[in-house]
Amino acid sequence: MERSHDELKDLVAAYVIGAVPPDEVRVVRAHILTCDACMAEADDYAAAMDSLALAVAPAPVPAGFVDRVMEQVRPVEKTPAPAAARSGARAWRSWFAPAAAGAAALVAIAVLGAGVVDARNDLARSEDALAQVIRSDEAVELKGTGGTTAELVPTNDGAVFAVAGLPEAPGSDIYQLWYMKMACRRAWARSSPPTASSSWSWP
Amino acid sequence: MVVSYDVSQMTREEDVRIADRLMSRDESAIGELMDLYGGVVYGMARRVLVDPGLAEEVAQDAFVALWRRPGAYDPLRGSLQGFLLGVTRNKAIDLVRKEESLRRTKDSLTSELVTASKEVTPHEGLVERESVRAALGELTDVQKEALVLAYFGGRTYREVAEELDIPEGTAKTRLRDGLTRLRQLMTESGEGR
Ligand SMILES: [Zn+2]
Repeated sequence: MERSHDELKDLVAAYVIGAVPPDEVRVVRAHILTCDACMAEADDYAAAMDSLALAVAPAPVPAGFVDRVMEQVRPVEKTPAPAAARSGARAWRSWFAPAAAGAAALVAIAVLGAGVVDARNDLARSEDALAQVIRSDEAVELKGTGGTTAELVPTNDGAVFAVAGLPEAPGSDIYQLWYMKMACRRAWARSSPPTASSSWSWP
Repeated sequence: MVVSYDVSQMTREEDVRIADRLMSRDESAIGELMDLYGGVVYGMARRVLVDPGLAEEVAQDAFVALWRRPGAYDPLRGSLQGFLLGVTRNKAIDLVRKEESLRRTKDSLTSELVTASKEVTPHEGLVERESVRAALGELTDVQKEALVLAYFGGRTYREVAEELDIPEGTAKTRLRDGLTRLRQLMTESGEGR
């Protein structure tokens, strides 16, 4: 049973700040994704939340901090980033690529399950996936984990994304496809539960 | 589009340069970033986590992760400092969500934010920090408390309600009103500059 805007609008701020409990996250997110008013509010809250981070006072780093980071930094140089997103119960099947002129957009497709706090936080966290940002305005072919392929074709002011061979999402999870205009501060999505082979287009 | 309270254009250009160096695998860029933001990143981790050792690990992870996946940061979306702080907060919150004993108590969370220590080290983020602090000073105590518990404490609104002994609806409202007010104030202070 879907809950209405009136029931959910007071949860938008809590959602943005990551304070919606796991059992409610999906219903709130699903509403925000389809409600322009809540989407706009979420955008404002997110900007306010970002500024909260800046309130933190710096603390002197412990002795050896820099050295310990640099030790981990050097060996990695020789190891190329893995091509595929890390697998796991809630792994991202992800392809990221800018579309449209000026690297203005980014596309992500992901399996999102219950318990995910905030899809945008997840984006920031999915470092493996983000490694696949490709800086190009041309059509990009992408290979996912296990035989899935996708193509992203930039259009004038958007993109077409086609995918084939998507495995079934685990359990009751659904796929969400995110299209983000990078010139804006935040990313917003269109989502739909796709079948194994689907294509979407924007705007 | 640059949001009004964002870092100055100069800082953003510097962020772009550092991001480019990371992309071209210039490890000195990470060293430079730690000089610039090591303190705030570690400060953020300490803000969320009780244990200093764990906080250090989380803070180091944030830099190492950026080195491994420099594409994760896009200068068009915000400042490098904001990005690093967001990553650090997420990593730290993940930990306190899994293990409640790692959490800081309500009192230690709420007492710290308002005590704005005078900083001796001149720092890129100083102006932003002071204006956020000034804005936070304008919120009501109960709004601040709810925001701090949720944002730095990793509490859900239900946990906020329970801990403060208030109805859940009130907890939601405080979070909402607090963020709304903060947004207004930050926008105003950004325009004033
Ligand atoms: Zn709504």
